[in-house]
This record gives sequence, structure tokens and C-alpha cells, in this order.
Amino acid sequence: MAALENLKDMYDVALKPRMLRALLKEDVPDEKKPLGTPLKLSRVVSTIQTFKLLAESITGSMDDKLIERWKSAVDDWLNRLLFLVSSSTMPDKCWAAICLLGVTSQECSSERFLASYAVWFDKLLLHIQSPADSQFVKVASCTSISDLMTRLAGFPNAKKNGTSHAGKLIQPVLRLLQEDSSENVWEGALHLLRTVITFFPASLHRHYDSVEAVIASKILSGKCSINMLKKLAYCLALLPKSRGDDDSWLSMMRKILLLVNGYLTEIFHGLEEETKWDEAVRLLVPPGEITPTSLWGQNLLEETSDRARKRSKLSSVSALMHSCCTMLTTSYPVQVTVPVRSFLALIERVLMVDGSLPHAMSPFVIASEQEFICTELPVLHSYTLDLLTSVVKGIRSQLLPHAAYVVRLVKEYFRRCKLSELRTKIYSIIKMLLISVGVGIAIYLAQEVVNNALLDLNLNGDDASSSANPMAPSEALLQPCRRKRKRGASGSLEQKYDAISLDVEASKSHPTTMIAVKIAALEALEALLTVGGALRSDSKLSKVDNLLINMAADCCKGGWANEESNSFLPNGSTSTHADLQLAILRTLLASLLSPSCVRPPHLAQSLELYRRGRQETGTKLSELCSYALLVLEVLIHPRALPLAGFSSEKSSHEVNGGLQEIGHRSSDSDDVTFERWLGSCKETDTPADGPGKNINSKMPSENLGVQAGSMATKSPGQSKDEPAVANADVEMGNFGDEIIVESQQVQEPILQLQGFTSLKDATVSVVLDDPKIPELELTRVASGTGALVSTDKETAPVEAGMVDRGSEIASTVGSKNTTASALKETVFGSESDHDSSAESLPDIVDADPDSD
Amino acid sequence: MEREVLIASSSIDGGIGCWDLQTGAELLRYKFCASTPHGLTCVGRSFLASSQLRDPHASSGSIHYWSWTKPQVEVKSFPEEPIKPLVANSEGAYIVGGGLSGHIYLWEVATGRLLKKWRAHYREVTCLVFTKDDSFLVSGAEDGSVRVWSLLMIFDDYQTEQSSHLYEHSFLGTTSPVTDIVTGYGGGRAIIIAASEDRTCKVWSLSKGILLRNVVFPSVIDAIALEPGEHVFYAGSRDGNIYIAALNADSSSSKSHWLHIVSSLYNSKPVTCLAYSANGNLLLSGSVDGVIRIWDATSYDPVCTFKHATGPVNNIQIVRWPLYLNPPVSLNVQASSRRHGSLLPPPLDKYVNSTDKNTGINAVIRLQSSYNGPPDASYLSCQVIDNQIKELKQQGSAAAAEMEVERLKLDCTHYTQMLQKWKKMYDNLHELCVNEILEGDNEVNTN
Repeated sequence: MAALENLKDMYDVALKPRMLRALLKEDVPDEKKPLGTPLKLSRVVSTIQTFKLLAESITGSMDDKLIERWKSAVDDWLNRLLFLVSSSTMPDKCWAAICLLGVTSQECSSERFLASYAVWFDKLLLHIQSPADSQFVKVASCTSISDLMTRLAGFPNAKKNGTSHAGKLIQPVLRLLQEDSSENVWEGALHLLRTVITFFPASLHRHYDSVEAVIASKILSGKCSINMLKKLAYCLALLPKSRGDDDSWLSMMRKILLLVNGYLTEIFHGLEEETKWDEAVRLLVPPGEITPTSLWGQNLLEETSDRARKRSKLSSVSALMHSCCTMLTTSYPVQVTVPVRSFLALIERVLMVDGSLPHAMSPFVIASEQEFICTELPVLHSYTLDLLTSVVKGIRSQLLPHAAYVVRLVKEYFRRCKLSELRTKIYSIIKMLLISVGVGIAIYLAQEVVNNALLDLNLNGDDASSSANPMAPSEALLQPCRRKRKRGASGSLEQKYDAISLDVEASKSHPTTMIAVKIAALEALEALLTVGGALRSDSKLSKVDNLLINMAADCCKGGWANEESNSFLPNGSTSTHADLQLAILRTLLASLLSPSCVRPPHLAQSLELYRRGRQETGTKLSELCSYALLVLEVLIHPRALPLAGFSSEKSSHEVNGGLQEIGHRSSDSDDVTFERWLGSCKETDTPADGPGKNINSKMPSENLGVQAGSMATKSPGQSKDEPAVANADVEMGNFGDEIIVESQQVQEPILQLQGFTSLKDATVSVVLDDPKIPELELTRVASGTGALVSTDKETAPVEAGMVDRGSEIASTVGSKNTTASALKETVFGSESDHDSSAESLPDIVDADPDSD
Repeated sequence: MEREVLIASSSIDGGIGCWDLQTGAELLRYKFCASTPHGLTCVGRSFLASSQLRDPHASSGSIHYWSWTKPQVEVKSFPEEPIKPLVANSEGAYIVGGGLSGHIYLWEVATGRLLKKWRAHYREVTCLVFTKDDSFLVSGAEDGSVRVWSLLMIFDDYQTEQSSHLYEHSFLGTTSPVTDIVTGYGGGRAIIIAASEDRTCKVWSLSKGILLRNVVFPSVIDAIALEPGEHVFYAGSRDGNIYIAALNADSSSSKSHWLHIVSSLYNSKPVTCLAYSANGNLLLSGSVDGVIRIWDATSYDPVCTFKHATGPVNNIQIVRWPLYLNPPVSLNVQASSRRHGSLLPPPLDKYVNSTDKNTGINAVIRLQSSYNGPPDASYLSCQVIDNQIKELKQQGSAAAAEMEVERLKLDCTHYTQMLQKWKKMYDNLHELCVNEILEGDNEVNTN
């Protein structure tokens, strides 16, 4: 029946119930119909999501029949799913239905969800509880429930129900984690756990300890993959949120730090001083309490000679550090006390171990042992640097008391570090420090950043592929990598850790990692230039400018790299030449924009580069370049614009008042801005051109005479038109004009006065001898005066004159005023002559705040 | 736009007045406050703090805290000596106070610990201000010196020992007391404007550490406010004028002192403090008659006035009204105001606790996200379905099976060959043995 009607178009609502029915009929399995290929399932999901088939969104114009049709279709859909979910004889169809139920709980309408989520929940819960189900079913149930809970969390009034439901989940999830052996299931279970902790923290209250124990034992078991460990660590870090008080956060943090320190003591045995453990304990355990001997079932200090065991401990340490990072950077309901010192001590402890033997120790350490540690160190360092990043991020301005310590640590490590991946991380830490702490730290770090960046950027400066002149660092860089490779053959930690073991042996020039370091170095430089650009007097920074323009020219010589080039690689995060070009251009921009006394020497060259780059339509490069061209415009046309209306008001009266009198220009606020702008050009030392060298143009006395005269005669009338408060301005302005007028009359002191007036010798000495274009002349005069008027010089000279050369000016200015107080009197005295006035002020001052 | 409120205090106990700048309505008045000049600050938007004027004989100072929601003083601290200026960094992590003796005290707000105390000036500290990026502290003193402190350096014990002085710059422009300091835009390249009682305002460059400009005014300037565009600054003087002085005028004019005054606003009474509200481009001035006048900074029209007290207003500040206190804004107002509101930090310590060094300094931080919106919902079903489908396909894929069959075939032939080998060896062995036996028999037979 309905199927016979024709649709309006693809957006027709009538299409939706029909499509849903069609899906049910053809693609969704039922009792008899087999599942067929699983690809069908993904088609169903995408159709539902694209057309919002389950949304039941009702608009006013829909007729009741249609609503009814849609509703019944969704009803059927749900009945079918629920039937399949509870059927135990057809595992594959059951699996499909569970998946679709997850999608449904995310897509269906709010009313329907609230009405029936409890039923769905119970059905899905059964599958998590029953041990007999297959892996696929378990994973799918976990995800579907997790989606259901996520949706539920969006309804604030369902919080209580949600919490009680979530409480039922904890035990089964823990059982899955403990009993099942498949990582997929663990992952599903952890995801569910994370959802519960995030959205319904209260439900965890009763199970807090058992959850903690299970997760910790999983982390410490050494049986999980890196990916799994990270997820476990994340959940462990979220755990204190469920209690939400300072104590549980701190106690979790203490446990983790103690365990990490304990493990490290075993692992670093012989490679560091023995006192480290005691120091860590002193910082972590409050005086009066005894140090626990074991945590989470692990003894804190034990001899481990078994290499496999050591390796698993190392991976636990990494995971626990990851927990710390998460705890430091995710939000928490209350204020917490962070043991900063312990963190920094731990970080220093790890970073300072470089595999070398302290002198006294050397006989006690077996060479193979040392070799083992050396292979594992890069990973450990990398995690430690992550931890440092999180500490800086987490404690923000409270880092200040420790900032100097951190800076020294970073500097020291930077000096030693030769592995490019780790250097990349340090650069990013430095970048963060620079931006967050500001210029204070730039003073400390500038030298270090510049030196290192120069080293890294020059490393194979001419070409990435030619390592014709391998410098010392690049040699040193190769060695540990090779060794690492050899050792890592037996599936050790760092082999799984892809970021570290990035194709190091690919070629001698290892371009990808080098590019990453270069980009990081450039970003650090950019931050330095942005924050501490004012330190440019430092000769090092000018070196950077040169380096940057050379790099930019060099790098862009061969055209622009293709940004798409790595779309075939599995992880698109490897750095490419295109990224490098972007980074160079961005840093170059920072160097152009950072303040300096002279114009950036490479401005023209850079502009050319940006102009060329902008033509690469549709790339990030062209975005950057057009942005760069926009911001650089300010460098070429400097602006110091007043607040809107601030002086357009004033100058329109003063400048254009005169102009209008002459009749050459209308007062237009844009023009005024333009004139102001010319004026400010002059201020900022742009070579003065016409407008700058004003007044003494060809016929100074005439022009000015007319103008000033008109001003003088006009001024009372003008001030009448004005708002009362602006009077002061106008008075001052007029005052200045009067002086000019007078100076015209009294020929002798004119030079002196104009010297004051314009503050530039140019004003007096330059005489334009081009009588052909009087109109232009006039404009110039006008704009010149505009510049004067608006740049506050014309009022001030009066006063200055009085202070500095009172006696000289006295004759010029006449009997008016010789002292400051006299001046004031005049200013305000003359005010009262006009209708403006002193009395209007109190009026306004007393104005009722509520009147407007 | 966030709501801006004006807070004002006076040297005579009139409490802290609080007005909504948009509506002009007076909000809560916080009681018992007779603040010192520059002694009122809002700490990280979460509460108000003010150093109190006490009778000159009192040996210790006094600093009060008010939470936004209650008019009474909630926390009282008594530092070692009377504190004049008081300022907090923008995050509200530290409070810095300047003492009568010339010492500067730096407290950590969350714990109340006195982290540092150092001798900054020879005479009383009169003003304190942070640069906009919070990395420098600028202090002015009665002896006319203005000093710039890098906070990093202050905490760096190692560096402190190395260098002869702690400060980054020490500007000695005058010998008369500094009355007000403002810092401009930008971190390292900011300008500092300092007013002093010799009727000047001096503009210093933070990066170069040099005097950029010296502006002489007709009267003593007690308050400065900087227009955000740094086109001009406003200087409130004792003669009742607010002078407007240009900043970006020609700088070659160092000789002519007054050249920068563009204009002035007549305030009628001596101006004691100024503030600028960027939100509506308003200039606010507090004066000795207890009235706060508000001017439109574009037209210089007076907009309205607030009557604060009978005594001189000596502090006005513009503060962002905390979001959680807004009238009906979210459903969990109750919960959140309980969470933020009454939890004021402990009082400030009197002395530096020297044992802290050994037990390890901890930082108390607030990990609350400033984001109040709904959490990002992350649905996973679809992704998991895709993964599982992929897995299913891999297991049942024909290509995989084919490869397996190939391998099995190879194994099979390999094993057949092995079998044959063994068989051959067996045969050989068998033959050998048979031969042996036969030979033995033969020998026996021959014997």
C-alpha cells in the first residue's frame, strides 16, 4: 500500500519507515533467515545512521498516519532485535543483534530510549555475565552497554537509575578482566569500566578496592600488550574520581610513585647511587608513617635477576607513569595536593641514568646487564618526558617555585640527549614551558634553545639525503640505535613501542626522524621568538633569522612538497617534507613579527615566498601563507589606530573644520582615519613624505593664514555644536591654532615655535617648490596639519613652551599665560566664555545611573 | 560576554562596593574593609582579598578575604608587618604583598604558605603589579625606585646566590614616592608606566630596561589607567583632572615634557584611582569625595556615577563575575556554588616555614576543567562492529584458506619425502642385518 506511493525526493520522511522495513526484510536476520555475509550488517548500520531511520523525529507538518507507520516500524525493529539477543541457539545472529542494539541505543529517540533502556540493559547484561558466550558476543555486549550508559548519562534526571544500573556492571566486568584470556574482551570490558567511572562515578563506591586490585594486578602481571597497558593505566588513573576526594587521589598517586620508585631501584641497581630509594621514600611517605613493604601484592624491593621479569617490570613502570600523566591532566572534582617534589625527583632520577657506570660501581655490574638497561632506557626516558610534560601541564603556574629546577634539568638532559625522538620531546616540553611561563623563562632558555636548534637544523643542512659531512652528533646517534636493534630482536618492549623504534635502520640519513626533530626545533624556536622576541639584542637570535630565511629559501627552492604523499602509510602521523616546509614558514613568520629596531632584513624575500606559497590552492601551506600575508601587512603599513571615534571626533572638528572652510574636502570619517594613518606613519619613522613635511610648503602664510584664520574665527561657533564634554579638547585644539596664527603674525619666532610644533626639523626646512598643483598642496597642508593635530603635538607645545622657554614664548603667546596654572585658567577660563561650560560638568557627573 | 563588575573600596570603612557594570545595579556590599591604596585584589576570580589599614602602632598587618557570596569577612590573616599594596597573579595561585619595611611577601594561595620574602626596596613598597603574562612582578616604592622582578629568578635559589641582585631591572627615575604603576600589553616587550609624586609619569621599556618617555603633568598623578590599544593613557591627578596623554607620539621629544597631554577630563575632585573596562570602553575614576565616575572613553562623556562612601575611594577594579554565581544559568547551581563558594583557602602564614624544604613542597592544584558543557559522548558500537566484521572476514577469507592449503600441501610432500627417506634407511639397515646374519651362518657353516 504505502510502498506504491511515490516519494517526493530522498529527503521525504515517508521514505524512512519504508527503508527500515526493507532493512528488516532483507538484511536483518530472523529465526529462519541466516545472517549471510557480515558486510550486510555494516550496510544496515550506515543506512540507519545516514538517514536517521530510528530517530522518529516528528515535525509539525507530518500526518498522523506517517507517524504511526514510523513508530510501528521501529517497534518491529526492536522486537526483532530483542528476540535475537535472547536466543541462545544462534550465536551469530545474536551477535548481530547485540551490535545493532548498541547502535539503536545511540540513534533512537529520547522518549523511546528512556522508556525501554532498562529492558535492553538487562538483556545485554545477561551476555556479559554468562561465561559460555563467545568472545565476539562478549565484546559486542560490552560495547553496546557502554553506549547505552553513555546515552543515559546525557539525561540528568536519570542519574540515579543510571548509577544503580552501573553498579550491577562492576562485578561482571571484573570477572571478565580476571577470567577471560582474550585481549579483545579485556578491551571491551575496560571500555565499559571507563564509561561507568566517567559518567556514574558513584556506582563504584562499594567496589573501589576490588576494582583497584584487579586493575593493578593486571598491569603488574606483565602479560598485556602496550596498548592494553595504556588502557589499564588510564582506568587506574580515573579510579579516584569515583570517590572524588583529595585523599584518594593522593593515596593512589603515592602508591604508584612508590611502586615505580621501587621497581626502578631494582632495575637501576648498580647504575645509580644507592640513596635514591631512601630519598624517594622520604619525599613520599609522611613522617611518622611506615613505608609499606608491598603494594598491590608486589614486594617493593626484591632482587630480580630474571631478564624477562625485569622487562615486564619496565613495562609496568611505563604504564604506571602513564597513569600519573592521566591523573595530572584529567579533571578532578576537588583540589588536590600534588607531590611535585616527588615527581621531579623521579623524573630527574630516570633522566640522569644514561647507562654509564658510576665510578665506584663499575666492578659490580655485569656487561650484559648494562647492555640490557641501555636498550630499554630510551623507552623509559620517553615515558619520563611525557610525565614531565604532564607535570608542567597539570600544575600550571604553581610550577613557578620549581621552574628553575625544571629548566636546569631540561638543559642538562638536552645537553646529553642524542636520540632524535627524545630530542623531539624535549623541544616540545621547552615550547610548552616558554608559552606557559612566559618571558621570564625565555631569558633562561634562549641560549639553550638557539644552540640546540642551530645544531639540529644544520645537521644535514644542505640536503636530507646526503650525509657527506656527518658531524659528531649524528655518529653518536647511530650507535645506540644499532645496538638497540640487535637486542630488540626478541620482541622486547621497545620493539612494540613504535614511536621509538621508528625505522631507524631504514637509511643512514633516516629522514623521517630527522624531519620530526627539525620540526620540533623550529616549533621551539617559534615559541621562543613569540615569547622572548624582545631579547633579540642577543646576537644568537639574529643568527636564527638568517638561518630561517636560508632554510626557507633552500627548502622551497624545489617547489612545494605534496601534502598527500603519505596517505598510504598506516599511521599518517609521520612527518613529511611538507610539514617541514610549513614549520619553516611559520617560524619565519614569527621571526619577522617579533619586535626589532629595524625592519626585518629579509622581509621582501619572505613576502615573495609567502606570495608564492599562497598560490598552492587548497593546501595548508596556502592557508598559512595567506595568513602570513595578512599579518605582515601591519608591518608594512603600521597602524596605531585610536579607539573608534576617539580622534575622528576631534580631528573632524579641527582639521576638517578648516578644510571645509576652504572647500576642498568633506569631512568623512574614513578620510580622517586615513589622515590619521598617514600621521602615524610619520610617527613610526617611515621616511617622511609629503604629509610629513608640512606647513612650510610653497605658500605657508597664505594657506595657513586662511586655515588658521578660519579656525580662529570659527571656533566659538564650532564648540557650540559640540557635546559639552568635548569642549576641553576643542579648547586645547583651538588654543594650538591660535598659537599658530600668532606665530604667523609675529614673523621672527616662527622658526622656534615651529620647531616645537612639529618636532621635526624637516617641517621648517623643507620648502616645496612646486607651485603647479595647488590643490594637492592644500590637501597636503591639511593632512599635515591633521597629523599634527591628531598627534597631540599642537596643544602641548604651548605648555612646553611655557615651561621650557617661558620667557621667549611669553612674547609670542602674548600676555596670556606664563605659568602652568595660568594656562589651566586660560583653558578652562576660555571654556566658560563659550556656552559650553563648567556648569554642565557637575550636571553630568550627578547624572542618575538609572536614567538610561 | 562575561559580566563585568566593578569593585571599590575606601580608606575609611565603607566595605567593598560591588556594581554590575552593565546594569548599574549595586550587588552585595562586603563589610569591614578599610583598604590601603592598591590593596584590593580579586584572587583568581574566586574571592576578594584586601590589605587593611590599621592603626600605625600595630606591629602586624592584616589581610582579609571575602567570598563572593557572603558579606562578612571569612578569613583573616596577620602578616608580619603592615602590608600596603596587595596583588594576585591572574590564575590566583599567588598573592604578593608589599610591606612597610620594603620587603615583598609572596604567598601561595591554596596553602597559605609564605613561599618567599625578600628585601625589595629601602623604603615602603607603594605599588605592586604583575605583567600581563605573569612572569614579572613590578614594584614601586616610596623612595621612587621601580623594580622588576622575574618570578622565576625569585624562586631560583641557585641563581640568586650567583647574582648580586635579584631584580631584573631597577628604574631610578626620581626620588619622590611612586604612586601608581601599570603594565602594558605583551610579555617581554611590555611598557611600564609609573607615576610619582614629582608630577611625572615615566614610561619604561621592559625588554630594554630604558626610559622611553617622561611626561610631566601640571599636578601630582595618583592613578594611571592604560587604554588597551595603548594609544593613550589616562592619568588622574590631584587637581581633579584626568589627563589623557598620548603614548605613540613621536619619541624624539624627550626634551619637551608636556607634549604628550592630549586632553583632559574634569573630574572636579582629586582622582585617586582609575580603571578601564574594555568591555564597554569605559573609563572609571574614583575620587576623594567617595564617588566613582564613569566616562565613555570614546566620547569622553560622563556616563554615570556610583556613590561608594563618604571617604575617599582608593581602589577600584574591574573583575569578571565568576560564572558559577550567575543567576539561573545551569541546573547545578546549588551544587557548584557549594563546591566553590565557601571553600576559601586557609589564612596566610606569618613566617617562611623553613622545614618545608625538607619535607618536599607540594602544590595544591585545581584540576577542574573550566568547561561546563556536556561531556563528549563517545559511542563505540559502530567501530567495534567494523572491527569484528573485518576479523570475521579475515578468518573466513578464501585467500587465507588458499594459503593455508598451499602450506599444507608443501608440508605433505615434505613429509612424504621424509617417509621415503626413512623407509630407505630401514631397508638398508634390514639388508645389512640380513647380510650379517647370512654371513655368520656361512662362517658357521664353513667352520
